[in-house]
Amino acid sequence: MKDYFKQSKVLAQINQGDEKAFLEVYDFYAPKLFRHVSYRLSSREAAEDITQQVFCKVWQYLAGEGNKIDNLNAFLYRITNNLLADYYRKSDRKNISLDDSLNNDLEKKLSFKPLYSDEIDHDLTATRVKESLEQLKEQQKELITWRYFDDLSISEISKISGKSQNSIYVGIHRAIKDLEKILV
Amino acid sequence: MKKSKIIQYIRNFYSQPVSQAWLADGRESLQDFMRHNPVRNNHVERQSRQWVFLNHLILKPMPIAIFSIIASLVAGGGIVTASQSSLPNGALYPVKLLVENVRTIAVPDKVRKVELQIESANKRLQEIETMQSKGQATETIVKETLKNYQISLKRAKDYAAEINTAPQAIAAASGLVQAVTSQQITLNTIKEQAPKEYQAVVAATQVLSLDGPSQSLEVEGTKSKDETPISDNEVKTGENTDLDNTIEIKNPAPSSGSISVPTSGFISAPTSLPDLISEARAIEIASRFGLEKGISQWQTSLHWYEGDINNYVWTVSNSLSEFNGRTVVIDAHTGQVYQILGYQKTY
Repeated sequence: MKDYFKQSKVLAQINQGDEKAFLEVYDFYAPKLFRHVSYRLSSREAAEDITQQVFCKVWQYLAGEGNKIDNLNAFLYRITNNLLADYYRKSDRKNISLDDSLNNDLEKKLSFKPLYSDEIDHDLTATRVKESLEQLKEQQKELITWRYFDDLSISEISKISGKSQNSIYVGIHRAIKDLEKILV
Repeated sequence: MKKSKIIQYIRNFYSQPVSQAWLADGRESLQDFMRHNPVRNNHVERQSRQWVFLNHLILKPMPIAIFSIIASLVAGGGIVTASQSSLPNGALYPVKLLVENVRTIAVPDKVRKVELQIESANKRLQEIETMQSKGQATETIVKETLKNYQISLKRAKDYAAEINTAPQAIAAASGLVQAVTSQQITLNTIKEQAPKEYQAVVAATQVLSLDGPSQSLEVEGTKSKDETPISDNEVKTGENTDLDNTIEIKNPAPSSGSISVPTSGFISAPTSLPDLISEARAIEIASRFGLEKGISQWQTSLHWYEGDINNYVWTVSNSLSEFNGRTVVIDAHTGQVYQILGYQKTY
């Protein structure tokens, strides 16, 4: 279920440098951004660090003369994406989105909880979907993650990626088609 | 598997649980960060006369398409990447300078702007050294490159003076002093390698480079005392090195003396040039031309348009979003719109 945040109400306040309003933004977005970052990174510490940096970057941006934000959601994800790109570049790490914990969890269930067969089936399928997603091109993965994992709108993805809404729409459609083919 | 099923699985992908302790710590750190970096109230209304010089952007006579491509490829790629290793006599050198300027414009943080301009200044000196080692450093090239070095340093100084928060301003000023100190050593090496005919040019640049950062330190009340004396007797100390701290435009006519760096080449207000249209008129033209209101106040600046046109231009820029904006370039004499450029901000 998509969570809505009353952007318009808070935006005016944070654009004026209201610290209390910005902390509200943090409370709402920090868990969401951490979820996004930790999905794309294998290191929990790095995910926490990057998520924290996002808010400092946004605040620094607001401190600039005449700087304003008109789409908070898109802006936060754009900065997150840039920080992730920096992280990959600096550490020369590969994007490991298949988290080990899911597989570990699955192993435990297979060993000790054979009664929960529905749950195991679900996990196995989820793993298959994840593995298939990994086979897509990097841009396709990003689009799918933003659209369905982070629940961002086409318009927001367009702002984050700097591409037209039409190309985002087509890109997502193609990515899903490719996923379907891999999963057959 | 059906599309809807796939999407459902993706929506329910596992991610690591959020630690409440980390959230609380992060909140506290953020509060601390905000206390140390306060955001003053940003009033949307336009100031009556804001001479926000758009980073002294040197506009090159390139077609808008090329500029747009460069702006969109600021992070790297194609021509832009290729240009980064070019030298002052290279075909792609103007692209290199342009990309550096666009990068500085695109960064919102003033401290980062200072760093980028210092980086550019360092690059100019490295280029001269490389050209000297290759035996290609002609007098014209050295003069031009030193001029660009001075411009970068001047911009760094201007940005440092615009920083409002004390710790950041001190850090920027200290960075400038360090950079200039190190650049003095490089300039000495360049001077030693240079033929006698233009050693004076290098020496004069040394004097000017010391002048810039010391002013930005004065702004913070922490004027540097470590200005190293220039031992070279050929230095022309009679030149006016007092750069105006508020409103400056670049003189189209390089001084005819031994150096073409912007010393007396800066004038204190564009109003002293009677033929130029006013800022208000430039804004009106941009408005008529359809420049969108954007999300924050427009920024205006006056530049010397280098290249074939050799003319003053007004630039009026909007911010369409926190990610991008457009700039209208207007002939400052006739009011004719030259072009409209798109730019992307990076964070």
